[in-house]
Amino acid sequence: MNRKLEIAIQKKTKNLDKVLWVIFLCMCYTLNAQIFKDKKVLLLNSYHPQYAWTDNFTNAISDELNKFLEEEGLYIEYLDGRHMIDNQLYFESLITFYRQKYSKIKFDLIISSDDYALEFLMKYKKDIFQNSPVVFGGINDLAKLEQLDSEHFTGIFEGLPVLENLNLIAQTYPEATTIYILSDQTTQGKEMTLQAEKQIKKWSNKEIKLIFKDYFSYEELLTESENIESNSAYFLLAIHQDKNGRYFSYHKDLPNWSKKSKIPIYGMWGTLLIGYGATGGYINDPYTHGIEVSEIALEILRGKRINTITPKLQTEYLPRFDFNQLKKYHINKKDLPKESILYFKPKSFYSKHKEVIDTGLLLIFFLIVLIIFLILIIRKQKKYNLLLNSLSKELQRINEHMSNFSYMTSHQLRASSINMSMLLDYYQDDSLDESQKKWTFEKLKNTSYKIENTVNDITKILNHQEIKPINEYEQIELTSFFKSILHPFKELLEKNEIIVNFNSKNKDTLFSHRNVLSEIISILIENSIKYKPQGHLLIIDIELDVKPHETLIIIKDNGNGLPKDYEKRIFKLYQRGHKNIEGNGVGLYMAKLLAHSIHANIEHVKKQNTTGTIFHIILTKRLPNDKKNTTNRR
Amino acid sequence: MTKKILLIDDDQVTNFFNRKLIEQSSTPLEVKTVNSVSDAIAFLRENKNYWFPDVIFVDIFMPIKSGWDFLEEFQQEFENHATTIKLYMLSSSNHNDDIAKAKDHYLVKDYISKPLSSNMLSDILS
Repeated sequence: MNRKLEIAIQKKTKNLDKVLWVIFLCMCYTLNAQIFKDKKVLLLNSYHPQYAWTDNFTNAISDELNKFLEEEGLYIEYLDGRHMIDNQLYFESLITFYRQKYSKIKFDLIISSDDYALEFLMKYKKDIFQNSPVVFGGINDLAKLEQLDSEHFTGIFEGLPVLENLNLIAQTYPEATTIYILSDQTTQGKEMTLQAEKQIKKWSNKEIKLIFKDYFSYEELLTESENIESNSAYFLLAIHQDKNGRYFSYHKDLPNWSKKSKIPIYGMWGTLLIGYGATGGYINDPYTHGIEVSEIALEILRGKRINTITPKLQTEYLPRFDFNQLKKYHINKKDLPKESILYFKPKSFYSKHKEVIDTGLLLIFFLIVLIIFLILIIRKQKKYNLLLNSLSKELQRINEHMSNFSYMTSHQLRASSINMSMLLDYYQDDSLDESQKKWTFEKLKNTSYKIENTVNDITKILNHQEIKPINEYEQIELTSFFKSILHPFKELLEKNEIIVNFNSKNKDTLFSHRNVLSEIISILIENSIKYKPQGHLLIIDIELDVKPHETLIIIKDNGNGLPKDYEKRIFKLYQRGHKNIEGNGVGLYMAKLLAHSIHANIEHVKKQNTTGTIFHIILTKRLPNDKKNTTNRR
Repeated sequence: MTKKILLIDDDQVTNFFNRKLIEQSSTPLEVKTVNSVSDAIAFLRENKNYWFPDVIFVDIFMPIKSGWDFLEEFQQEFENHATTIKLYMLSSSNHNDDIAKAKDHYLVKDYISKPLSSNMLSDILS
C-alpha cells in the first residue's frame, strides 16, 4: 500500500472510534429503553386506592416503572384489606376472581405493598400468579423474614421504630409521665402490639409509664381524650377498627379525635398522620419508600437474580412535625431534633411573595445600575460640555482678537501707505526747495519705519497669542528673576536716577512661564520709564501679594498716571496715551496678550487720591497641569 | 464770504497735505489744524464767538481720544451749532462698521476715506 493511500485511510478512519462509541451508546440506550418492552409487572396493594399511604406508594411505583415499561405493562390491584379485614369469605372470593383473571398472564415481577398483600402472595402466588418473583414494601412484621423464600421474595421492611418514637415523645413533650400506645384487636393490630412489646423491653426511662390500649370504641377514645390530664401523650401504632368493628378513617376520624384531644398524638405512618391532626413522630414517607422498592424491582427486571438481593430491614424514618399541632401543645421547637421537618409552618412575608420580591429587587438592582450608568454618562457629558464651553470661549476670544487685530493693522498699514503715496507725489514736485524736499524725505523715512514697525508688530503678536504648553512652566527663583528683568534697563535707570524697589514678602519662588512673565513685567517697566514724571524722580515698586487662589505681582510708579479717557482703551491695539511721547500703542496690548497665553491676566488699578499708575499681574494659583484649571483668567 | 475749516488729526503729514489742498482752492478759505480731540474742543470753546468753523474734518484714530469721542463732546457742548456746520469723518479706515457708524450719526455729514481730494473739497464747499 502506498504512503498516500495509507494517509488517506488514516484520515478517513481518524474519528471512526468516536463514531462507533456514539452508535454503541445509542444502541445501549435503545436496548435499555426496550429491555422491558414485553415485561408485565403486577402491583398488589393491601388496601384501597383512596388510602393515602397506598396511593402515594402506588404513585411512586407507577412513576418509576412507567419510564421503562410499555403502556399497560403495569397492572395494579387493591386487596382492600382495611375495609375487609379478617373477612375470610371475601378473600376466598378474591382468590377465585384472581385465578380466573390472571390465568393466562405470567407476570415477570410482582410488587406488594403492606402485610396483607405479602401474606396473600406467600399463600397463593404459586397457584394464581405462576410463582412470579416478588418485591415487597411496607411490611411491619420483621418475623416474616424467616418465613420468606429468598429465591422468590425480596424487598424492604417498613420497620416499626417504636423505641425511637417513645424517646422522641420524651424529648419533645417533657411533661409527659404516661404514654398510651394505641393499637386494635385486628390480626395486624395484634402483631404490631406484639412487636412493640418486644421493643419496649429495652425502655429504660422510669419516669414515663407506658400503657398499651387496644380495646376501645371510637367514642370512648374521644371521651378519654377530652378529659385526659395533659401530662400524657398518645403514640399510635395502627388502628384499623375499634372494638365494635367500626372502621377507623385516618382522613375523617383522626382530625376529629385530634380536635378534641388535650394531649398530642404521635405516630409513624407518613401521609396518614401529618395534616390530619397528629403532632408528629419518626415518620416514613410512602412515596420515598415506593421509589426504594421500584429500584429493587428494576434491578430484577434487568436480570439480577432475586436471591442476590438481601431484604432491607427498615425504610427511612425522619422526625416530621405539624407546626400547628406543636403550637397547640406548646411544644418548643428547640426540643425537636435538628433534622426535623416542619409542615404547615406559616410562610414569612418573603417566602409568600418571594417571586415578586426577587423580581422587584432584581429590577431595582438593574435600575440602580442603569442610574449609575446614566450618572456616569451625564458626568462625562458635563465634563465635555465644560471643556467645549471653555474651548468655545477661547475660540471666541481668539476670533474677537483676530478681528480687532486685522482691523487695527489694516488701518495702520493703509494710513501709512496713503501718507507714503502722497509724500512721494509731493517729492516729485520740481518747485520744491531744498528744505521742503528734506522735510518730505524725513517724513517718507518715518512712514517707512512706521510700516516696518507695523509689520514687526504683526509678526510679534501672531507669535505670542498661542497658549503656552504646560511643560514650559517652571519654579522661578524670584530674586534672580527680577534681577535679570532689570538688567537691560540698567543704564537707563542709572542715567535717570530711577529707583526700583522689590518686595517678595518672604516668597522665594513662583510657578509660571519664565520668558513670558519676564516680557510682561518688562513692558510695564518700560512704560513707567517712558512716561516718567517731570519734576521729581521716578520710583517703581514691585510687590507680591499672595492670596488663597491667586498671586498678584503689583507694579506701581509715582508718574503722572494715565489720561482719564485713555484708561478704558489702554489694552487695545494701537491706542496711545500721550500724543507727545513716542509710542506705537502696542505695548499694553501685547502685555495682555502675553498674560492670556500663560493663564494669567493683567489689570490697571485706579486708586483715588493717588498719582501714578498701578498694574496687577494676576497669576492663577492652580498649576497648569491641574485638571480643574480649564478656564482662563480674562 | 470766507469759509472756515477746522482739521482735527494727529498725523502731521495728513494735516500738511490737507491744509495745502485747502489753500490751493479757488474759494476763499481759512484753515486751522489741531492734533487732538482735547485741543479741538479747547479751540472751539475759546473761539466760539469769533471763529467757529463752517466745516470740520475729524480723524477717527487719534491718541487718548478718538474721533467718536469728539462727536460726543461736540454734541454736549456745541449742539446749537450742529445745523450750521458741516462735519466730516476723514479716516484711512475702510471698515464697513466705521463707515456705517459715521453715516448714521446725525452730526456727521459724510464719511470720507483718506486722502482728501480737490474734487471732494469742491463738492463739500459748493
